[in-house]
Amino acid sequence: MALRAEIRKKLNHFTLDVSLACAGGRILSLVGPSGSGKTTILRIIAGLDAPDKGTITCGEESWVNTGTGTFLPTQKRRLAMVFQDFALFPHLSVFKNVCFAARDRSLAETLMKRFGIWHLKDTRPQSISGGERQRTAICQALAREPRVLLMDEPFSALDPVTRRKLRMAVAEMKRELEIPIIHVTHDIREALFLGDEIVPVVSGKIFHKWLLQFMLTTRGEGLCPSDLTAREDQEDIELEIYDMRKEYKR
Amino acid sequence: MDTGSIPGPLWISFKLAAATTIVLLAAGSFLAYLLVYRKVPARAVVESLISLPIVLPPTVLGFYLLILMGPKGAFGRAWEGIFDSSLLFTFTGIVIASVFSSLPFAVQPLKAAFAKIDRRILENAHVLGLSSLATFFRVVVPNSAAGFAAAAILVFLHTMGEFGVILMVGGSIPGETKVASIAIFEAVESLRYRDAWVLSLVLALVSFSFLLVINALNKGEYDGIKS
Repeated sequence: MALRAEIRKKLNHFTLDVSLACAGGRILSLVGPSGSGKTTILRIIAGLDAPDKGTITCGEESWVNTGTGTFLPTQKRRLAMVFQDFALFPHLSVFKNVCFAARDRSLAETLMKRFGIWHLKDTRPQSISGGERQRTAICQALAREPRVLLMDEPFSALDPVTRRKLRMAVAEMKRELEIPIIHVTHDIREALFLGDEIVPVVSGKIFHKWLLQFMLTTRGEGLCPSDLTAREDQEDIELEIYDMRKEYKR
Repeated sequence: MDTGSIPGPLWISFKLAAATTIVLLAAGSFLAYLLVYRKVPARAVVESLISLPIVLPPTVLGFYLLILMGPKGAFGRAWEGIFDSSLLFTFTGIVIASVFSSLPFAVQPLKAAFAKIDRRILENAHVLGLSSLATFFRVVVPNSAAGFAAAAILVFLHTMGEFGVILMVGGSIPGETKVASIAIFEAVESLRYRDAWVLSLVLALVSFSFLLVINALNKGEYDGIKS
């Protein structure tokens, strides 16, 4: 099942205008500087915001179509979202948080054991570490058995060691899930590590040259504006990025 | 001492306070929810109207309610049309009047409690499949327990001490609308100071006990602040 989105929305300083597609079992990483519209894209896909114009489909199901006036409410999209600061329910224990939308409580238990948080089942989220909260949020999202998983800067609040461990866990998990995963980050290395497809978003537009410039710079080749202008062919740029990503995957 | 003149009004006051509290916990949470989470047209006007009973003299509010609920008032006429009975000088009438009079004491603490809840946990509840109603009961209510307790106690106490509005709308009918505060006033007027003492003491003790509960509930919020 694939998720397709064509979104146009006027924001304060620019107009968000993107077109995305993510197949089941793949991670699409939206990467870009802060305030570039990445989180708004996720919120629109989740149904927490509405686009001015556009369509969103999940498999055969239409979630949004501004042309026909279709807008499927958030709660009917059967998706899950890992929020930047986890958004766990403070009045519930870790286990009850994970079970909140679970269809099968035994799946919640299995996930918690797999992510190493089963021993925290009776603890409240306020009393556990950032990494444990993050794992709780991932388990909560997966226990819903979503058709699409959205992750908004999921590792930004974690220390480097925990971040690395959890990135590995998500990369492993992706192979087993057959759903589209949309991941938002401002950390290009994280996008390069996790993403099967990388979509750089700058001021609301997809801008592959921005990512290429970063990658060439970090490889020590540098890139001046004239080089960017010369690389007119979008496909060439994407191919070049693809080749360079192999280095980051190692 | 006429002992019958003490438990009767106290019982009416208690019944009135309990009924008003139940009605206002439902109506107040609905209004507070709209004000915090929804776009309300002319919000400033709506909020000012809700808060008006705090600043209006009770007799002014009572006068308006008397007109509105009377046989010539829109509400009173509609009530008579449906139930074939008058609202004025009845227990139901004073419940309705005290609901209006205590409305801000329910809405304000509930609004404050709802506004303190992190919006993202509400969004997460929607993302996880909950409707707005289910989110209200499963997320908003359990995370606003202190707000609900504060609203319930403030409404209950305010109604227990209600005087002007009740007198205007309900008069002083023993066993029906004669509440403790009116009984105190009448006891003083007829020089029955012992009755006034007893009733006043009961009301003061009840109020103090409930306020003690509110302060105990709020204690945790300021524990970390030291000068």
